[in-house]
Amino acid sequence: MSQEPQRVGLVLARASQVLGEEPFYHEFIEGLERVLTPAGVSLLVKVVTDRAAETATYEQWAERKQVAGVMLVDLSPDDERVPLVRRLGIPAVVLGDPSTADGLPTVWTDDAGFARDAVRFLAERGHTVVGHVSGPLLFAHTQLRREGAETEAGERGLTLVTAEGDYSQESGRQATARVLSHAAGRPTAIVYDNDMMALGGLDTIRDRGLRVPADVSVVAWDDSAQCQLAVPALSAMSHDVGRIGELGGGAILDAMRDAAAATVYEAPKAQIVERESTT
Amino acid sequence: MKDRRPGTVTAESGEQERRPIGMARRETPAAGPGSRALIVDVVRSAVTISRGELADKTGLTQPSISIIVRDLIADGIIHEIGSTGSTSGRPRKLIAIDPANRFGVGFHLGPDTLTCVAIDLTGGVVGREVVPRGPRDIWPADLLARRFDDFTACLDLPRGRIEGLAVVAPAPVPGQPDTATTLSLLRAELTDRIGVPVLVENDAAAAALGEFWSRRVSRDQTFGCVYLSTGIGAGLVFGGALHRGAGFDAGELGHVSISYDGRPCPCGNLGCVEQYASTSATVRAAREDPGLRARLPLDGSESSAYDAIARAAVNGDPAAYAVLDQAAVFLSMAATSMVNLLDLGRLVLTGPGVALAGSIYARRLRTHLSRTAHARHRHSLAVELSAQPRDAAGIGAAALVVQAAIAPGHTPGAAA
Repeated sequence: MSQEPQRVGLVLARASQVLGEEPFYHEFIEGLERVLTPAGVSLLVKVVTDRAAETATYEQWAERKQVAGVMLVDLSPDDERVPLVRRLGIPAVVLGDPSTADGLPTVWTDDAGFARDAVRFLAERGHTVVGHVSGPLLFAHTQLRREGAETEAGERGLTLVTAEGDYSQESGRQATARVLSHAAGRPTAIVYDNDMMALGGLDTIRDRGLRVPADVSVVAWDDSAQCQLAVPALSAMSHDVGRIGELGGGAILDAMRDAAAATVYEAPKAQIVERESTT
Repeated sequence: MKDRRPGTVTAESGEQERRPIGMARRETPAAGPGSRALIVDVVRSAVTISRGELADKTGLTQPSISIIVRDLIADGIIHEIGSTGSTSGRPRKLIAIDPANRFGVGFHLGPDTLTCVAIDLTGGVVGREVVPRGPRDIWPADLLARRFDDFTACLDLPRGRIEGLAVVAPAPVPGQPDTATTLSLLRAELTDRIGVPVLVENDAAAAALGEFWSRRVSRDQTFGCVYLSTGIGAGLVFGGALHRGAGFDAGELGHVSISYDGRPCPCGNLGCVEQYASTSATVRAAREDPGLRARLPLDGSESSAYDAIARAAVNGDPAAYAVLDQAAVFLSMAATSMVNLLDLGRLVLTGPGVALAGSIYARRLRTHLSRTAHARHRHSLAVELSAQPRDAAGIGAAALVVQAAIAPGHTPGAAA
């Protein structure tokens, strides 16, 4: 009989349909597996619909000793999951800003810096009113992106108009309608926090009789095949999500060996890939 | 609970469906199990629908529909999700598939991993696990059973709500160790060990059924799916039923030849498109390009090398783009043959090969088919990209189970 494989757990709290739409997590998971599989460690992903179910999952996994480590994603400031996994004694790695991790190891993506880059990219092309359709503001990485965008807009004297979505295509449609009707003025460029919301935004912009990019430029976050196939093809803030996953895989193996290590693993820089949706 | 185990009902052919099985469906003498399956399938592809529209679309009588829908609600397969206004002033109640009560589990045997997937009744993924395993090592039934027990326990899925397990694997190259037969032999023992029905299928075919189910493709469509991986497969769904061929090998698109004196293939033929357009062939081509070799990390595993090429291509590296686009041209030649042979109306590209660079393949196939498909002046052919290409085979396996359980009559007993 072969030895039981060790297992790393990842809980995603969202409707299963939304997971199906999000290339980010598919590529992140692929990167994790590239490191974990050769190390003989399996990766278990569980999709739950709310935070309470996520908490119950960690408690069950700890009680039944079903996982040797967990990867935490989508953290809020002062997230209760950090003390929870510590209390349960499960080695854990946080995907996010070190400020949310309270000393747990983190795979850090500079969300504030990348948001500044996106706004700067548009400012350099002459846009003065810029929209930002963000993910849920509950998440620390969303807040960091919003702060980064605000800082850059403030320094350059741009007007930033904002709306919140939930990463789904439908929420992108609705948030875009709010941004385009904003009292502060109609933006000539909109940055979206993921690809699906940007695709929804394209629909709304067209429904208003506006052209992309002649009237409104669009920048997606998280490049994907759907961004590339869109008409016009979307310019995107592209990061190597598979590589972020690989860093996460290495980090969790380190944490399983030495639970005290509070290392920050810095993800490679994201950059804008220019296609047809920006002028 | 009614007996809807796939192993017992799935051997029906289309004609036999008309004959009620009696015991299990005593309450619905007017409408046999085929009607129940038809209703589930029409509700699935419609997303939401009223009973009146169901009558229009199925040709069944209102009383039959009322009885069947009542049973489906009692069984937790369908639920009412509110009302909509109607022109006659009476609100119509809408029904939809109730995703959350029952689950299907799929196992995909890859070259060095076992991917386990659990889905709800609409095809939404509720959990997945990738377990390392030795290369070319088919696990015995007791080990697969342990993985099934572990996976479902970690997800906290009660056994009574799991409709079954489907195990899928690539169709073996002729003369190579015969995965298909091995799996078929494991099937009975595995069923005994885990206490739920077990199906066996080839991975590309399963992926097609998964796309059919979760994209809510209507059974009216002539649907095909190309699965791009280290090999190339296809799956075909006609009238809501997966086309299975005589055994395990339907849809071997990778062994459609695109050159009568082309590269030799281990299958025995020459010029098989798999030798030109699989992810393995693409990695070989890229490794022969000194510039790409210097620029990109191509020396690691084949899958990470392929992803590096794909990422570079979509980020604007012209040489990486050229390698992938050439593969897409080769694939397009074979795709035209398949589309013409079967007169397909809708084609989805899936598999790990299209995860990052799917846009290149989709664009090339669209252009090529719009110039070459024989029926191009009579009907359109939609070419789409999968939303979950990397897990498509595992999701498809789980979808086989779900379809067999709630819309039976289309999934055969998988060569007992």
